[in-house]
Amino acid sequence: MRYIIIGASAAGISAARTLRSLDSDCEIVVISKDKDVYSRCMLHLVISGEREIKGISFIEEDFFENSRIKWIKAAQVVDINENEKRVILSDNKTFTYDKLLIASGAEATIPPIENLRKANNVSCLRNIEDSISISEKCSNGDDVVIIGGGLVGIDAAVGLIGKGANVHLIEMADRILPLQLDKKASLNYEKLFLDKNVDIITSASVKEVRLNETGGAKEVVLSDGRTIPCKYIVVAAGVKPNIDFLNGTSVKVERGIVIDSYCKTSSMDIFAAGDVTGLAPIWPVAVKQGRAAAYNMAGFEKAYEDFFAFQNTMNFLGLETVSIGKAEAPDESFITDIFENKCSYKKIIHKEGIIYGAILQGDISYCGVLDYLIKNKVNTSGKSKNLFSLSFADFYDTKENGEYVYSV
Amino acid sequence: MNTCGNCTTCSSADKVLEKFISSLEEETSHHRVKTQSIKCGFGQQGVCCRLCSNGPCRITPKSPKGVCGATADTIVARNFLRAVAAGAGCYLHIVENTALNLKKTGENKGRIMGPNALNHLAELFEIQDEDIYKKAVLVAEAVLKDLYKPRYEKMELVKKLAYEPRFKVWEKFNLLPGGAKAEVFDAVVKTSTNLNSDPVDMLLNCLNLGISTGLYGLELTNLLNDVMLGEPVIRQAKVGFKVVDPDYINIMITGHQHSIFAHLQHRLLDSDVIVKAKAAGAKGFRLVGCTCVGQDLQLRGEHYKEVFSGHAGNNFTSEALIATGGIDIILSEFNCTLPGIEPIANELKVKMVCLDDVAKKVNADYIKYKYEDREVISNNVIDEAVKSYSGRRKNVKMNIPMDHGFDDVITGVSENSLREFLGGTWKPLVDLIASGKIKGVAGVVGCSNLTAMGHDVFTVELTKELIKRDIIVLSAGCSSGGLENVGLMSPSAASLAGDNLREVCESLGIPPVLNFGPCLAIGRLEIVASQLAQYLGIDIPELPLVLSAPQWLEEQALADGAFGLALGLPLHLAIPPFITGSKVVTKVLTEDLQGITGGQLILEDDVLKAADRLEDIILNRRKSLGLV
Amino acid sequence: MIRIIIDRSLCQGCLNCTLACMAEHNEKGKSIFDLDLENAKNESRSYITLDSEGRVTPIFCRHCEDPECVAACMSGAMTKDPSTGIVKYDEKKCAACFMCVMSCPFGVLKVDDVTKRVILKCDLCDGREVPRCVENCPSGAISICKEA
Repeated sequence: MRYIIIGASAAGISAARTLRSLDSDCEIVVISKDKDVYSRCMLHLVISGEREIKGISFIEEDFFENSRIKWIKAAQVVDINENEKRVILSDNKTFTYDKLLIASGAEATIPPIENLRKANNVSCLRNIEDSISISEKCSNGDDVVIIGGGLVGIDAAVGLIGKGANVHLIEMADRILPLQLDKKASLNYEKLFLDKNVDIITSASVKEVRLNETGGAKEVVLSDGRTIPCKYIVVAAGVKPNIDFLNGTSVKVERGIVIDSYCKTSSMDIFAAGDVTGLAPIWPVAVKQGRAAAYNMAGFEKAYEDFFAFQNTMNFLGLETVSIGKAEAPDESFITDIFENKCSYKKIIHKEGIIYGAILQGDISYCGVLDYLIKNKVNTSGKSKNLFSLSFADFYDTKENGEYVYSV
Repeated sequence: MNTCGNCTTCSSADKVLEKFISSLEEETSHHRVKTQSIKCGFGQQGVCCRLCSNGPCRITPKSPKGVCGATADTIVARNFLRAVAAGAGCYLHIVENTALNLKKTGENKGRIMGPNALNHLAELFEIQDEDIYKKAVLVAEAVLKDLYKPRYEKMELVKKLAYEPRFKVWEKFNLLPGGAKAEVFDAVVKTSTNLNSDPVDMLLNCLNLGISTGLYGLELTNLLNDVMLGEPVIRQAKVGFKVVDPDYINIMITGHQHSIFAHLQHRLLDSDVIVKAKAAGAKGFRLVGCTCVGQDLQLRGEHYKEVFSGHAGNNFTSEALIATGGIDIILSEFNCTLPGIEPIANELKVKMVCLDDVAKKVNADYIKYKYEDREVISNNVIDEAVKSYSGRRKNVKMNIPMDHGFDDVITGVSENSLREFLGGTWKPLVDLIASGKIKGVAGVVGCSNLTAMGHDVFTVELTKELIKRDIIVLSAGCSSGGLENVGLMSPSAASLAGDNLREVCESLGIPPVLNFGPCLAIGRLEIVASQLAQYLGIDIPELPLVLSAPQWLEEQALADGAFGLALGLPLHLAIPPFITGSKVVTKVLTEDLQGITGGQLILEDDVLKAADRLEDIILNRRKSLGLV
Repeated sequence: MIRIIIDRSLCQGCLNCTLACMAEHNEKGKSIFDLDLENAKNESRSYITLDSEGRVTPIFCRHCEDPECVAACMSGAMTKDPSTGIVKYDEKKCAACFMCVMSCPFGVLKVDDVTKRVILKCDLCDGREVPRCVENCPSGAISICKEA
């Protein structure tokens, strides 16, 4: 039995590891465009120089060896022959499979702003090559424009602060991290960025990029007419799943690869997991999807249906934040509770006993309970009126083997 | 630990005792150590406060203050002062009763067995009277008068009793006590809710209480007892459970107030009383010593050779002693009268009589001792003893380990008897120290406990280390009970000492560990220290003399310790006295105090390290005195 | 495989387990007397809390069969050891992203108060025969169960 996995990031590695634990004899082959295994959530640490590529690996050094997994690195899959059950690489090598898992992740996109795609000093922040490029090309005092003030854009900003660059962060919404934070929580970060001399420009977008003689961007023009000089541009404007190589196949795609509850695609013996499915592009979901896919590939039925993606943690400039569910009350029928002191800002949005969102900034201790309550829409009526004081104690129960379980 | 079936008993330095206890069916404190071995960390560090209903509060990094705002420093200092106050109260109760008994003895022209002791006290107090009995009354009244003074009147005898350089230090730092009982009273008030929160004030208060504990509770009690009961005389005596002779009606005494037995111990030898014993089938009556009052009898054993069997063991042997079956009646007047003796006494049908309600047991008959009632009480006790003996002996099996104990223990050492032994002066001792034959003096004193490595284990191991280093050990209290029962107070123990000390001991025929008797006699040790210092013309902190109360047990020990610190002695404890949760209290006691009274608390739970530190201090002091 | 079993009904809230945990992980020394109770650096990996009715409840890491914290960890710092069952935390690998804190459904995890970089994670006392908290529980509310 040979399993082939395309992609060596969260979903791919998780699936490979799980397959080996389920079947000690099968052949497992991982094919990845990446030539190193690394966590894309830590790329900003490479920009600033805090860690090197080895330091952002999320697996044991001897993982492939110990798990007897064949790893074909720096290899790009360009097509799949479903009838022959064969993957075809860019160098024309081919491999046959019994079952195939596509965990090829997503690629950052560059919006169609004038000259942006042409400029030779632009990169996104999705792969290690991006980090290295940014780190090499941006030095102390250089003006760097970051397009997009979401999680990736913020990561880039933090990394570039470490390089001593003059960062200009441009965000379309009225605040940075608009999907995760409310105005107050977002402003707290803005203040910290301003203390580090980062130029934050909200409610603005880039209309045009102006090039110099050598084809590099020299300045950007904003929607309000301002121009910002730049030696480099980092684009953090979103991602799209890596599915181009599936164009010649019958695998159904929408935003990403379409899968059922068992990670099966529309094509027989082909599974998909992780960001390539476009369902909930966060690390824990990718890991768990990969695991579930492996089970199903190995013949054990295991459904996976948790696509709650609105849960994020942030920790930069000395301030940590957890954001779960809704960042703002959708309408007046929702109640917003706020707790604030000089070390923390906490907000819980609820209605009729069900919690819909929470932001905790400064003190995130024990907040996993809120994550569970929000994700599972647990009714908290009858418990303490002070939702901030809720703990697992209020839902305490144990399984026979001693593990905790929610009593709801 | 020993295991027998599914019970385990803690280890003891006294291996014969350990074996005996582990074989018992009755449960003793040694059996209960294991189930109580999980200690509350807050209690151990002294940072639990139970004073008010907003508590109990505990200090943790997440809750650094009590609800009232008390910090760890305040809570620890409060707990410590309250403990010292309770301990001081205990000793003051003892000296009060002792003085009262002396007063009544004088008023009734009762037996004065130590006229020299009386004259010494009278001279010290500047009391003159030709009549020995009037003198006794005046001496006793002088003590009582001081004890009963209000707090704002300084006690007058302090100046007369204290070593002058020490008095000056105490005066300088405002440590001189007012009326002793009033001081204890106010210390209790001070440590109540939302009153004093100044840890340094409370610690200095402890020293004040220590002074009244030491001078009155310890020193004076010994001297007053000497008057009524006779002065200590050095002699060899039998110790251990082997002293229990089943042919006699055995009366076990527990407590600290030897004067309560003044009448009884003579009455027991009257012919009409012996007849009663014989009628019941026994040869007579015997007093069996256990706890400090037993040490008192042992100390004065020269005067009670017939009626006193010997000192069977210290406080934590008391349960096992009763379990031998050989004790017919227990008379309790103070501590240590363990609650644990009750089920054993009930099981083995041993009568319990309590002579001072501070030591009342549930099933004990309470007969309040008053001097006026002494005859009635003695006769009452005798009759109860006979009744108990007659009723129980055929139903109870004797289980006395006759291999437990020693026959040749040197006892009866006091400040006077030791000096007499040396020829009437401290010169021989001083010369030995100066020449280095004796490196220094260590007082290993105080209680016995079961938690510092086991029953008497730390005490015995530390003593062995010290004598190996040619440091002569003076002991008093339950620790003496432990040391004598393992043979360290027999002359043969000289073989365990370092070469120099061994030579000295062998030539003098003494053991390297000298038995001063009950913990009250720690006061005698301190008199020795004062006299040595006076002889050398220095103050006590300069002497090559150290103090360890390694297995201190209770609050009295802490009050004792406060006196030691007030005297400027380095005081070692193996278990911290619930102070480590406060940085201020710990620092003051272990460091800053040296700049005030010269005293220093040393906390060290490793025997070798403790011995090293104590030896270091002795060596440093030798150096400062110009000794090699 | 060793697991701590909790009997909530026996918990008295004495907090001795938290002291034991702090003492066991104290850099200055493992004795209770080495534990500086005023130093915020000392934190317990488990905690006792009151529910809405004031009932005392021990919240301890369960070293779950299927740990959420391990799935959420993007640096490989949180791993489950297949042979011992212990969910281990590697401080050196950790990038302080705190996804684990958010993901633990039982709210067991928190960030340390002093450096704000380290997760306070139960390590079952790193191979000690009996975890120190179990050893110091006077009521038997926590005990160990050794599965084959």
